[in-house]
Amino acid sequence: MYTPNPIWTRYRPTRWIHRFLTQYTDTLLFKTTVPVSSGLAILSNLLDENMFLLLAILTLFLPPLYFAWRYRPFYVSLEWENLNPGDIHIRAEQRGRVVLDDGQALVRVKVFFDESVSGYALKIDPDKPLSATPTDEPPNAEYKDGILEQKDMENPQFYFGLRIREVDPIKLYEPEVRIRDANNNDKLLLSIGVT
Amino acid sequence: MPVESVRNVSVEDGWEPSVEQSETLEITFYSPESDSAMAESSHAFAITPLYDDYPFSDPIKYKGEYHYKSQPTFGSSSTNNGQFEIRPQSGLIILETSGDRPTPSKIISALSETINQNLKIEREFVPGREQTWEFLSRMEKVGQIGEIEVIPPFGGVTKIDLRGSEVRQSSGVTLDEAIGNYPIEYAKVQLAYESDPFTVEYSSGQLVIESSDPEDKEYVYQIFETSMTES
Repeated sequence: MYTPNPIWTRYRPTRWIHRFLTQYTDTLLFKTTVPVSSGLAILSNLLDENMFLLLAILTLFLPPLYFAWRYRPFYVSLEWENLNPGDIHIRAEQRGRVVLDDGQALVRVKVFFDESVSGYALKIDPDKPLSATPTDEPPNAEYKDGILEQKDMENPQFYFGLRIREVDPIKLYEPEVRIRDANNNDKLLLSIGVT
Repeated sequence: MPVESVRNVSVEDGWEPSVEQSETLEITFYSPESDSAMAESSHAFAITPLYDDYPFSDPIKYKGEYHYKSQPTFGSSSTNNGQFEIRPQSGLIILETSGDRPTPSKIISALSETINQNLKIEREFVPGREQTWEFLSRMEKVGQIGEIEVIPPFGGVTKIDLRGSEVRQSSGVTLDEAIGNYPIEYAKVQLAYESDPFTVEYSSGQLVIESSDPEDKEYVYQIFETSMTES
């Protein structure tokens, strides 16, 4: 059932909770602690040991608390999608990575800001051997010195293409392209692994 | 076919074209042949407005050529020669290169390092989305669009179905929804300024103008500048 504008979108706290839940349930932390917690709960029942029950509760609730504290506030969501055709790129995308073809790759970055935010400044921060440039400035935004910014929030949800190029030869480690919130202490919003 | 790479450049007061040299690059500026040199500088060329909506009054440009020689640690060095134009009113530098290597970006970097006083060249060209569509729209008024590829919000890079609004493919992207909203990845237009028709291809800050007539090129540059200057 698809309802346009479901009730939770109308209030800021519920939008934040929704964003938090979407982002948290996507993490490895969530995916491992839930089975572990279930296992501990089952054990506590089998062995009639309250200690395990306590551990089960802690394993279930401490990680989301940690995640909420670490990555707060949840006013923005970023996603990236591969635009390069070919199976190798599709497989790499499933692992959260993008593959350079002849030293280049193109991805689509989608940005969803909460409508209550009053402007943004996204810093595009590639690791040294790479360069990452938007294909163009989304309507009402300006790109300067590696930062894409909009002073007011006429356009809270938008997307742009990001061209990733190898500028210096990539040595041993796998570099990343990061997007940070320049208005909030360079908080990390998105990280794209590059092969 | 030579490729014209466009970048934003800010020319500060006090910049004067002069012969510049660095390890990899040698730059010389041309002078207009006529005796009636511009008052400010003998290197400034007057631009003749060819495009009706060209907004600049008394526009000038500086033209020059570069000789690039790479100095790699291993392997043999490669050379590349080409020309460039600095157009202060629109704040653009247009670099004409032929051949794939070295990449225009490398040459722009070298240019930027070599001419570093009072002239700042941005490494990448990131135009406004609406301005890129403005450029296409202006070209369409004096020519015919052959092809447009855009990045839609879902799916991969898609070619727009230009055949007509009645015929709409179920999975296609229409021009109406794309204009002003989707980033243009590639466009091909056919223009006919004074002489034979020629094609212009645009893609991420690069123009390929299939004509050897300098007036055709200048015409396209002016349409480009007009579109990019609009706010």
